Amino acid sequence: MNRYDRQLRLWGGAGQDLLSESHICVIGPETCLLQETIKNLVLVGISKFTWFKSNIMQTSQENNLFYKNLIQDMIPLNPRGVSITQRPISDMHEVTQGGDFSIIIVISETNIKDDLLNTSLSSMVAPVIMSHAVGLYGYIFTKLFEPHWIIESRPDYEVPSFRLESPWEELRNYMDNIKLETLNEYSLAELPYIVLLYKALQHLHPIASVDNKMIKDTLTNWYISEINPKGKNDMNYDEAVRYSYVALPNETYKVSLQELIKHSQQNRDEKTNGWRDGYNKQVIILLHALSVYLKSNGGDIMVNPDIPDMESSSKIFGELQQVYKNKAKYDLVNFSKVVHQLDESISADMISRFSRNVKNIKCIKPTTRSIRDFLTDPKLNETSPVLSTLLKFQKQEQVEKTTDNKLFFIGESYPTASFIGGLISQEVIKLITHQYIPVNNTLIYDGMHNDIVSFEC
Amino acid sequence: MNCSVLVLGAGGLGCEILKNLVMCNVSSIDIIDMDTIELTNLNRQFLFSDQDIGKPKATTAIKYIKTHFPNLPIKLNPLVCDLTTLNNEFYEKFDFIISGLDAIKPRRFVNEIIAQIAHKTSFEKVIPFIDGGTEGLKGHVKTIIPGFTACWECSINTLPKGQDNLPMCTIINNPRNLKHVIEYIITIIYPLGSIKWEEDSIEDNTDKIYQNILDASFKRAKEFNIDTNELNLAYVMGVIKRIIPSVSSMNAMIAANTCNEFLKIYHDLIDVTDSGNIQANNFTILNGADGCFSYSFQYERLTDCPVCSKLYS
Repeated sequence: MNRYDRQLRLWGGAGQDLLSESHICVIGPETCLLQETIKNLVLVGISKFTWFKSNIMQTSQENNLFYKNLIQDMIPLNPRGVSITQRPISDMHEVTQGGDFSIIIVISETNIKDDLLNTSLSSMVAPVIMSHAVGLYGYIFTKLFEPHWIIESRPDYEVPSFRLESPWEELRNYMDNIKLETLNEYSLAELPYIVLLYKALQHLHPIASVDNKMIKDTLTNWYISEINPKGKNDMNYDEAVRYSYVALPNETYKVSLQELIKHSQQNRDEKTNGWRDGYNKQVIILLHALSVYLKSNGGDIMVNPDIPDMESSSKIFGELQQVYKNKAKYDLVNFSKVVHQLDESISADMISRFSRNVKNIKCIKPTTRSIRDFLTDPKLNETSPVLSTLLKFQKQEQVEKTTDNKLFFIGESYPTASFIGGLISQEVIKLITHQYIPVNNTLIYDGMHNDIVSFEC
Repeated sequence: MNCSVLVLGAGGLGCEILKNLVMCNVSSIDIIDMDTIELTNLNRQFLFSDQDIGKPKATTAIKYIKTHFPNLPIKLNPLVCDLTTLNNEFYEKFDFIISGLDAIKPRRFVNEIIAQIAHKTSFEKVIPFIDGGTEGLKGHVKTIIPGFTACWECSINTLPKGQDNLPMCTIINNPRNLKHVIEYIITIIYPLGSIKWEEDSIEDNTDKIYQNILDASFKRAKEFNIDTNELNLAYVMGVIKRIIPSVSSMNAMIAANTCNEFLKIYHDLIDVTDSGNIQANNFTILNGADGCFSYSFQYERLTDCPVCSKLYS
């Protein structure tokens, strides 16, 4: 068994490798929020940190630290070793001058150097996460300097593409060889529902625009009435009715895919001085390859080798799955050729994960607002008074107690720091692994009302 | 904070909850867990390390706190046992119960106990029960105050229906994937219920059982032409133990949320109306897979709830 088994189920070996190779930069005084963040990151398997430590201790923090010796106490949490290099805060300018950081986390820091505050979008700086927590409130703000591309966004539910409306030869032959009229009620009950849907589509042929209701009606009026009158309670029939929409061509993802391709072309034109994050660079090349591939394949994306389980006999399901696997393999070979004509260095594993997730690709655009602007813009007060108060506390400005903000003064809540520490580390994980979708770009936690608000600012 | 809190479970959530309560200076904390530490716990259960594998979770967690805070004026008490074997007299001692369990049965048990205590004492003793749970990048927190909010049982229908309960016909006659194959092996060939795990808890023996299940799974998968690319011991154990993914970040967030609920009740920050109802969002769900989304709402109690309706008559 692997120490990381429980999280490998969330992001797989490739994600875990990216985490264990990463280098995290932390800027700020030693607070419980900073300790909690580092602890969570060490636990997921990150071992390299550089900490620009400011010595300004915030009021009452010293007695409220869980780890009396953070660097020492982190060692048992990662047997590969944990290296936390401490640097004086005066060296913070190094962050914007090269540095191989994967992420920069700024926690409760008051004095941020101009280099970082004014960093322009053309610079090669890692994503910056800013954060602070007071009382039952906390915020995070993520500043991206280049677009963040995600292949495995891992949605809860994915509509499978069976290509029933545009079958390739092997699929068409397999389906056509199943002759419904020669099968008895028991054999009919053993057919996967996608066979029934394919047959319904064939029956409707040559009607040009088929809709969901027509498919459902065909299942009742043709399949049940004419082919299999005893099939009304069969589970495959039930599934066919329930999932009838998968028989329709899905145009929505094609539209958004074209938008992503267009967006990636813009990225390619703009990023003439190269990418900071090699992963993003690879996705851009893969999307370029995809646009070439789509043109020569009538707009059809690569077939996914895995089809979801469905009521069926083992034999027919196995055969049908093989048809999809064969085509997926064939498509992958062809797509890989296109990719390697553009760039030979992209790994087979990366190409395969891209192929399987074409419909899940997401991009988060760079943050236009500069960090200085985020910290000083008075208009933020209108958007979010809570955020504005949090920033005042962070900058150690005088905050007058009013009826609206009195809950900020109820004293420190260690759990709030722990919550925000969890949140920061989760965003770090998503950004480094390029899996799941990060917060874009500001989030406010209100523990009083159990409320989370996120918005783009 | 002068009060006595019972923490249910010393796993991912339990370690976080215990740490938070210590940092809040709660005067007395009991923590109960019957399990021992395993390697796969160590990606989130930060009070344990490699040399603790095999030791009981509750005592090891308390030992960590006592070692790192030698002069802590907090009463700490670990319990290594099945919490469903303890009676009302035990639970009555506490002012709050915070749970970080992964099973349904013990939660229902505790929920019923606190309803009984509130009923028996005519609301002299009302123990708030705050329940957290996680699955991957998702989680929930439920706050239960017997007689004032919906109880745990009121929302039992909101639990996901056991989708894992595959029809026997599929498992026996039409297996189509590795899950179906393994389910067959552990129901028909080596029925899990009949395996004597406890009697011989030597690591080797457990490994042997898993190896046998794996071998039998390979054989059956071949018979039905099912792809065995992904089949290995970790896969088999995932199916057998119904393993749910878990990560430090979401654990910390949910545990923190339960503790903030505790702080709010303790400091009287939650409004109770004249009719005795709580004016607060007692249910929260959290999802960090796409941005970070939370939904908090007031879950209404079931008027015919078999557990808590008697409190209102």
